[in-house]
Amino acid sequence: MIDRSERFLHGETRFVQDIELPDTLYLEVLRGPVAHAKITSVNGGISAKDLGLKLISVGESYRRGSGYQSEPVFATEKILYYGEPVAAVYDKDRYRARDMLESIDVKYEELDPVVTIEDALSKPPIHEGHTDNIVGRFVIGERFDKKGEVTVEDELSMERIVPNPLETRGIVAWYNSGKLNVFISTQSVYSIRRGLAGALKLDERDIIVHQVDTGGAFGSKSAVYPEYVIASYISMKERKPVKWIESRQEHLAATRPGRGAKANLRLYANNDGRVIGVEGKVYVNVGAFADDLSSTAPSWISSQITGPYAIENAYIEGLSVYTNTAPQGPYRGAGRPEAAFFIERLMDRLADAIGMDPAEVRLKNLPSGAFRSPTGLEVNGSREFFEKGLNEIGYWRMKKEGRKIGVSFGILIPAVYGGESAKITLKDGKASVWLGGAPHWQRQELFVKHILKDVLGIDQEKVELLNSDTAELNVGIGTWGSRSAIVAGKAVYMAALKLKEDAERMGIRDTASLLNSGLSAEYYEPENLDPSFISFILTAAEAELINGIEPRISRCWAYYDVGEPLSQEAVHGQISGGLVMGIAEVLTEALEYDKKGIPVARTLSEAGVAYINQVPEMHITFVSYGRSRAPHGAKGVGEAGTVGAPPAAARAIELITGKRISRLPLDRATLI
Amino acid sequence: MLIPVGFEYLKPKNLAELDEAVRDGAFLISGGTVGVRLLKERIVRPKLVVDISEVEEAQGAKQGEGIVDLGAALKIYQLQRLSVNGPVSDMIRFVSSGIADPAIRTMGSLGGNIALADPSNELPVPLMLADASLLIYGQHRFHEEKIRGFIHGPHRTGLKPGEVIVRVRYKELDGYRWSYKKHFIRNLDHYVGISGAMAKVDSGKIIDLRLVVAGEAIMGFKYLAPERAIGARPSEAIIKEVAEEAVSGISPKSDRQGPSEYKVAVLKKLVELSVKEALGA
Amino acid sequence: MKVTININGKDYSADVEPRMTLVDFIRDVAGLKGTHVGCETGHCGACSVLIDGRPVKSCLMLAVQANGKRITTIEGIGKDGGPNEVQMALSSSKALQCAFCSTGFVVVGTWALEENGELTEDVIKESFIGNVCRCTGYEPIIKALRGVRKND
Ligand SMILES: Cc1cc2nc3c(=O)[nH]c(=O)nc-3n(C[C@H](O)[C@H](O)[C@H](O)COP(=O)(O)OP(=O)(O)OC[C@H]3O[C@@H](n4cnc5c(N)ncnc54)[C@H](O)[C@@H]3O)c2cc1C
Ligand code: FES
Ligand code: FES
Repeated sequence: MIDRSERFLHGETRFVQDIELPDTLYLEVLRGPVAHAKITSVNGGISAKDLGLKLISVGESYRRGSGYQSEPVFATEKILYYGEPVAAVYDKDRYRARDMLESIDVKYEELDPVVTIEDALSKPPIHEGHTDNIVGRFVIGERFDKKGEVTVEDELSMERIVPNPLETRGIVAWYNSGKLNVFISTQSVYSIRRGLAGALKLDERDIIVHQVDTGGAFGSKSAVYPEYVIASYISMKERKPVKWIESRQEHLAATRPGRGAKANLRLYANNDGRVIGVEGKVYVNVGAFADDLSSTAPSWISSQITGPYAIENAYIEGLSVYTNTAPQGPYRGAGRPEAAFFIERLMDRLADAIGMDPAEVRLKNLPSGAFRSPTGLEVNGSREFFEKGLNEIGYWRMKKEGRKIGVSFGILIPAVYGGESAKITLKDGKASVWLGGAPHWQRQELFVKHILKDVLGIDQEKVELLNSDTAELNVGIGTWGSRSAIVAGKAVYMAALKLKEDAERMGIRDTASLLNSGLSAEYYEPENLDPSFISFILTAAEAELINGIEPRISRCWAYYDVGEPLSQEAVHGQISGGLVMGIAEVLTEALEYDKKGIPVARTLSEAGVAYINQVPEMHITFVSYGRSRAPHGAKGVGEAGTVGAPPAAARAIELITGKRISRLPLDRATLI
Repeated sequence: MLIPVGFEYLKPKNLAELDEAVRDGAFLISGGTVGVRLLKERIVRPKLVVDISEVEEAQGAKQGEGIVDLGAALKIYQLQRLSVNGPVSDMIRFVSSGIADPAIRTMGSLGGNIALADPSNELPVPLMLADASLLIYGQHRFHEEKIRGFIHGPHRTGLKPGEVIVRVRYKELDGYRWSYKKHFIRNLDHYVGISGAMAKVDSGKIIDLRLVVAGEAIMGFKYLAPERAIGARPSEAIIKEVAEEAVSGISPKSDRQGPSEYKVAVLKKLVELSVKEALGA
Repeated sequence: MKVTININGKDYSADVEPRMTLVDFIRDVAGLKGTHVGCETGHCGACSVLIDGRPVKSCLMLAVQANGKRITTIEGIGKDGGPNEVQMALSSSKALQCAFCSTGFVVVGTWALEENGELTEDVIKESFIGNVCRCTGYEPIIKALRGVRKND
């Protein structure tokens, strides 16, 4: 069997851009050229008036709440963000389809755009019938009176970021004999199926979603987007395959960006470093349209605000707001990095205010044993982990040598909710495995092979992990939130156990007969968060200056609890990838808008993604600080680096420049 | 997807064929590293694209009687391994090796790097230091122009429609030391500042000092020959003075690359570093 | 316009519009899908191919510019029918995740090895300065390739 990595190295991949079905029609989308405008007319192409489908309304996952403005397929009366689909054209010649875009005539009157969180709070509502731009208000924790001897406060913010997987989004939709077949680059075939069913008013049983090789996602490929509905709609109309591949510029303008969070926080403490409580406000810019995930983001961030610490009091008000920017979505970490950045920056501030070592301040506030925070967060044993980690990375020694090391300590809460499914089929001398979470090769095949070897004694070469497919596995969730190793791993483990029992019952003893037995097992069970899933992550960084001005992270250390590591290589790659993204988030990476709400970056490089010259010397250690409750003991890891790196890197830069960092990316004005 | 408007394409083999090919509204490309992107984004919408990369008069490099003569069609990777000697040529090799990435260097040309006059184009820096001349051809005739006067501002040069740079010539600056510094925030993005310096120091005294600054900080190219330094001994004070002079009167705009003052501070720092190195101080 | 390009030792001729990019010629005319499109503006290296042995970004080039040239794509890279040193190094240490970038890294890496004889850390950092990998953080790639030598 040809190993997947060999297939990739020889270019034998099948990404969505590689799929060419006979008679394909190519779709191009005309997008709003301004952030806020009243549309007076659209002539040419297909647009809202042809479709008759006003809302995407992708079923329960998007509309559980009330009053959220969900996203239309095409802009209707107004253009509400730069890049919003306004009309579309298609042709059997891809180049001609692009030419046809120019024949569409859109007339509009520009309106005053609401770009920032401040704008949202002060300017008139962008949506008709609303009284303000507020999506959701949340209160986390309870008011408290005890305030202590020292107060530190700060306005902290993390700019928006475009996920920018190297492969942009794309779809081939083919309506054929009453069934809509969708070939797509995605994190979840099930959310695509549900979303398309809702928008197109189809029965889920008539939609088959095949995940094709997926070139990264980082949160951007879980939602249903307007283009998917448009492509499917045209295919249903023309009865031909319709292909749409996003350009990088469309990705930068209209794919759901993450972060975009701001906090005004106060930390109350005593002079000995002991924190009494944290209080303040957290805001999230959800963009022009909201869904459950984005509108509740302030509450999710605030619930983690006490981090690994024993902080007895917390009172946070959360607000999510509409603006004339692209709808917000998850980006690697989704809320976890925000919470970590906010609390960790305050810890450093407190250390500076009372003249104590930042690691010392953290130690003062870490519980030994279990602690339940006022926001309901349960942590267990964080202090011992931190103490050990500091020693292991040599923090005290380096400090003694006068080196300037920034440290952050955090928790990683995996999104285990909903559990996951898996299917294993033993046939033709091999084991074929499907997961509910659409693998885009965060190296899931490594843990799958590990588990099959462990439970069934099947050799690695005989195991094949296939792309996710609703035709093979009818229920499932998706891959995000550092969940795959835990929930998908558990599902594979349980399915393998089932096969083991079946084999024993049938008297199959050798693996050769097992692999030709034709046995198949599926497993699916919902899961709930358990404190044993939460892992601790200690990150440290050291910076240097290029040309005496521009900071660069020269070294970083990761001391991460990964539970039972299912594959050393997979875990390592997840951590190194996350760390570099986290560092870029501090130094270069952001989706910034000009005053008119137009994204400033037009290329991958301007978006500030990390290149090889930004890679620091890395010291990655992963430890098993107790197994998780999952039968195979795994914990999450995918987002650890993006949670841990930003506060550590920010501190390291602060230490060599002497300038305080409160917002990301680094504001160059503070360097002079 | 980025797809150009339709156009015709011609690839003349020499200047005579070029004369035939070029008509009103023709768009020239050599390597196409920038030109093709302009086409794909439909920022330019020509009816005709003329590819000048194989024009024979614009090929090759030679050195004789102290003059180095480079074909404008030379690719940047070819400049990296120029077999001509002298400090200016050394500097060109060094600068070339740091342009973009290996693939862009395979494609991009010397002529394109000059003709674009983008403040982040790097080859004009050593060429302006050396007071190079450009051999320009158009409307059936050649003329020569100094590169120092040729670049008028960002993306503005003395080239008239249909004219091409055929060759680039400079005299070696024997006995000079050089230094080249540049600064960027994002990889493959525009440079915040660039500073190139060349100096001749004899018996502890500065005989000549030349400086070219470029990048977003000044949105163009500026040549300086700080007179006050001539005859002086290299010192921190002189270096500071030169840096002051280099940034005096500039007021870059604040944008995604940072606020105005930051860009000025960066450029000043680069000038200090490069002048110091060129003076051997 | 009639264009003939030799790709991996085979001539591909077609009548194409002059505006066709080289990467579209490779993928759509020659049908070789291993060369990917990640950014279309020269900033990611996913579309890297070799022309006369040197890397180019095929999204920034028109097919007509490559008329009559010899091109090597990922499908033409390898050694004696198997993987070459760079491919072996990248697969054995699993320096891939989503692998969308990998063919570009293999193409540029193959050139870098040919050019330098050995992939040192400096050679790696200089050679891949125009290749983006969003997943791995590059460090596993650097580790995998460091010390790889050409063995004839
Ligand atoms: C990702 C990326 C990174 C880059 N990084 C750098 C960098 O670090 N440093 C740097 O200096 N540059 C950089 N560049 C810019 C560019 O690649 C170089 O300037 C290159 O030398 C341009 O040459 P070309 O032959 O490709 O120009 P083309 O794209 O072919 O032409 C550009 C323009 O110059 C004109 N032109 C070309 N040749 C001539 C001639 N002989 N006579 C008259 N006009 C001519 C064309 O008409 C066209 O308008 C970068 C470009 C990209 C895409
Ligand atoms: S697609 Fe060509 S460099 Fe990105
Ligand atoms: S492995 Fe995904 S971009 Fe490199």
